[in-house]
Amino acid sequence: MMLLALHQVELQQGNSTYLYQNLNLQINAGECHCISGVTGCGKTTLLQLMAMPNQFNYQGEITHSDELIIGIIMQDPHVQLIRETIGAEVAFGLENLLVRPIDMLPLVEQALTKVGLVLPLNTPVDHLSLGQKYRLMLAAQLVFEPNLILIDEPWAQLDNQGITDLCKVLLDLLNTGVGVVIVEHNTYPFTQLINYQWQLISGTLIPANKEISSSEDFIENISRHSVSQHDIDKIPLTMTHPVKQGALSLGGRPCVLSMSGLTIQFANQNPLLHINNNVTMHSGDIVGLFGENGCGKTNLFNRIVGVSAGYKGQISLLGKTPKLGIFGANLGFLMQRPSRQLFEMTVQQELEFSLKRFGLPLSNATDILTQLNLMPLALHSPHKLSYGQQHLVAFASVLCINPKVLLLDDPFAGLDDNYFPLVIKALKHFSENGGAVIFSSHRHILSSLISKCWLIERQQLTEHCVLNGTS
Amino acid sequence: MNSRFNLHHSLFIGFCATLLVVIKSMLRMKLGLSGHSMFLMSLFYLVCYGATNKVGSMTLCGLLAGLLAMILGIGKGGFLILLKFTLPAIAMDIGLLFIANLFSLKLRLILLALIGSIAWAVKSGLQDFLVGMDIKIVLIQFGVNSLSGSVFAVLGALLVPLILKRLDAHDLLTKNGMRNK
Amino acid sequence: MISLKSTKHKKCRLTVIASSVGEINCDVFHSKIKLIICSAAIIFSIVLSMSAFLVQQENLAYLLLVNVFLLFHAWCRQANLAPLIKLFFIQSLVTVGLYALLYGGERLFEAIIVVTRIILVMLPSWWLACTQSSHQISQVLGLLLPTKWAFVVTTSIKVLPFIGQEVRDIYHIQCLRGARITPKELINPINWYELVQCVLFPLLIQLLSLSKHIAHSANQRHFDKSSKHTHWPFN
Repeated sequence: MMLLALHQVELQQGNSTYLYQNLNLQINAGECHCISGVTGCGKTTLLQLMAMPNQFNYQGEITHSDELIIGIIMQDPHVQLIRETIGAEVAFGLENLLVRPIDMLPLVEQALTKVGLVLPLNTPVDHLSLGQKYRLMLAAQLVFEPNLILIDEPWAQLDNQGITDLCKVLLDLLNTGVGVVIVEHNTYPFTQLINYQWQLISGTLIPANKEISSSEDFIENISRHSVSQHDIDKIPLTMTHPVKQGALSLGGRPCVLSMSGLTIQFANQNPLLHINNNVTMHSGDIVGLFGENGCGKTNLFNRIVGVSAGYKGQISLLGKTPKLGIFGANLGFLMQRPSRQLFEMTVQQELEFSLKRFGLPLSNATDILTQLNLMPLALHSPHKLSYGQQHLVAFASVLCINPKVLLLDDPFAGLDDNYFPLVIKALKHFSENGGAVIFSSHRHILSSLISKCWLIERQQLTEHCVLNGTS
Repeated sequence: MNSRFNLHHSLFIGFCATLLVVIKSMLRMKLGLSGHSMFLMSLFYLVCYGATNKVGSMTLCGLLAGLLAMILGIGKGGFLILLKFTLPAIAMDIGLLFIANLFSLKLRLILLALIGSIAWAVKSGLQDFLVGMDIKIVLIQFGVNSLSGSVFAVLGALLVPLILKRLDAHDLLTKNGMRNK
Repeated sequence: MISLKSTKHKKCRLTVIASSVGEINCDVFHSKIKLIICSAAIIFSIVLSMSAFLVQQENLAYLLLVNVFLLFHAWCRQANLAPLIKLFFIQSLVTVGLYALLYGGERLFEAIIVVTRIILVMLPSWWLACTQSSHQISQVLGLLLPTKWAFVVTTSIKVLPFIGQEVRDIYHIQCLRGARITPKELINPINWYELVQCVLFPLLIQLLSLSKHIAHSANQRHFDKSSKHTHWPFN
């Protein structure tokens, strides 16, 4: 049964350029389609166009079958959850459909059970992990019993457990005849679900062919796909071992960061993170900070750069106890969702802002833009770029001040396989010139690039050296 | 009024009101200057007007800010805080009815800010008058309040065109927003 | 109009949820009582504040007595008296000062009456804010507002912590990028514009985007389908 079809769809972006041209797609019940494409090619917009065509001024034909009920889950759960408790969140749609309060309870319970979220209905949404929030969003859609579900880039948001849970729910739904469209850079975790795989290239959907897969294989050597979720459990045994004091040959490289006896804890709460031993980072190191969603990676970064107090123990960054503003151009920090920091009129000005404030040569901006293939965007407004491109501009703005220490909080979320190798190359170049980098991720990635990894498990951070690392 | 503002704009106005109330509650600890709240009020009300380009947006922002302040217990809470936020906004919207298509954007915003600060001073004056304060003292306080309020309100209003210009340059103002005006 | 297909339910593993339904029903009853008390408190505080304007001078003592009782009640509930005391001092200083400046000592009693009335206007509102939770006040106001605006108010309160975190994050990130906005640098008014430019401006962009996302999320779940809505019974 056909649920939704796009026929010869065209959509203009701005006044001249076409986002889509001659775009065709038909989705039938029980089918799973996966759409990939480079950063900024319009994947997210395509989902919105499918779900709410009347909000766009498009040409061509978009057909919704009479029975079609769409559920849509966009990238960030935080901006889509509306209510304070999980029961109220799922019931929100029912309230709007004028379902009697007495009939709501079984429907809400059924939807929550389908996604495996069996918790008291008055559980505050804030208490859920990111993976649980994602499933809550799914339940809030399933409560209408949709027959087509659209999902935007789940891989970047969820840790491996979250992805496994999501796949299980989606598989059950597909078996009951629900259609699924996933927009995703990394299709690997969803292989078992996908019936049709598409590439969005130059505004048109083309079936993903062998040529494309082989180019992905090429990237695989250095990409985030290098350690798949299925290999994760093996990593600590096969690729890493705990660092013993003095085990690494440091070649006289100065220590830029050391932490010892550290406990991060919020008032009246259990400790979030402990570091019992002394962990260190030297110039030229690339350190991967890995742990599941909510394990305290961001909190640790905030303590290292000195924007949050609230810890016991010792942190020494560049020989000083961290405090906001004392490191100047020696410290670069990229926060999560870095598009928040953009405010200038052009990409070039955005990079030049820090250079001017720190009295550094403005030519650094051009160098980094060239290095990251961003020169064509230099005079664009940063706010007209896609999520991934904004991410990259923010990364460039931190990198161009050439700091001694660079901290990157989940820097690869939303980056496609075109920009990903460029970022890796830039990081390599940066570390070869004596810069130290820590990046965080909710899964183990880039084992071939990092010199050591800091693993957070059961509230403990332990340092591991990577055997095939660069050091 | 429901049909005039879509949910996106309504929520934006609500969030501006929230921000106004939160920043005000943070600043009142630091500053003892009379009239400083007019800076924030004129800034946020006029941003709402600029983002939606609709008469009524400032009143809504004021009303929501008053309700939120009442709910969150900011200031002394209660219904007086509701009036404090709402009256200048209503006055600015009424003023807008008369000058909607006159003058340049900058001048229009400054005039609206002045109208707002006078309404704010009138509210304080009326309150003083009703508790039986001597008329001379009421007038002195009114004069001081409207002068200091106006200075702060105009400062706030001067920032608005810069903000709108940037929002427009980034294509963030929708077709209803104050584009090219 | 989108209809719900089947309302016949499979037997689900609901033991955890089902056992809490009885407790939730009990909570619903208690929250209704609290709501009625809160509504009464709001009306009472408004009437009392208005009385401070209207009551004649000879009856002011009775009003004062009621307010002293409110003060005592709030104090028992561990309310912070500092803002009220601060207001009293500032108001006394300004008003009595102006009376003394214009009329010397002869009308000081009148000045004290004026200050008392101003305090009596404010005190019931302060009492309301101290003794009633923001959740209950928002529920009462939600009943008076049209659905859309009640939604806007509750959503604004819900996203308050998120907005607070955004302000902090953006401020910190710009400090680290070298913006001249540390407390020390903000003493110089020239740097205020930098604060607007690199904190307030990105923040407004975030608010625009947040409001767009939430509106999408709500409308996609049929918020705009009808002007009437039912309510989840276990709030």
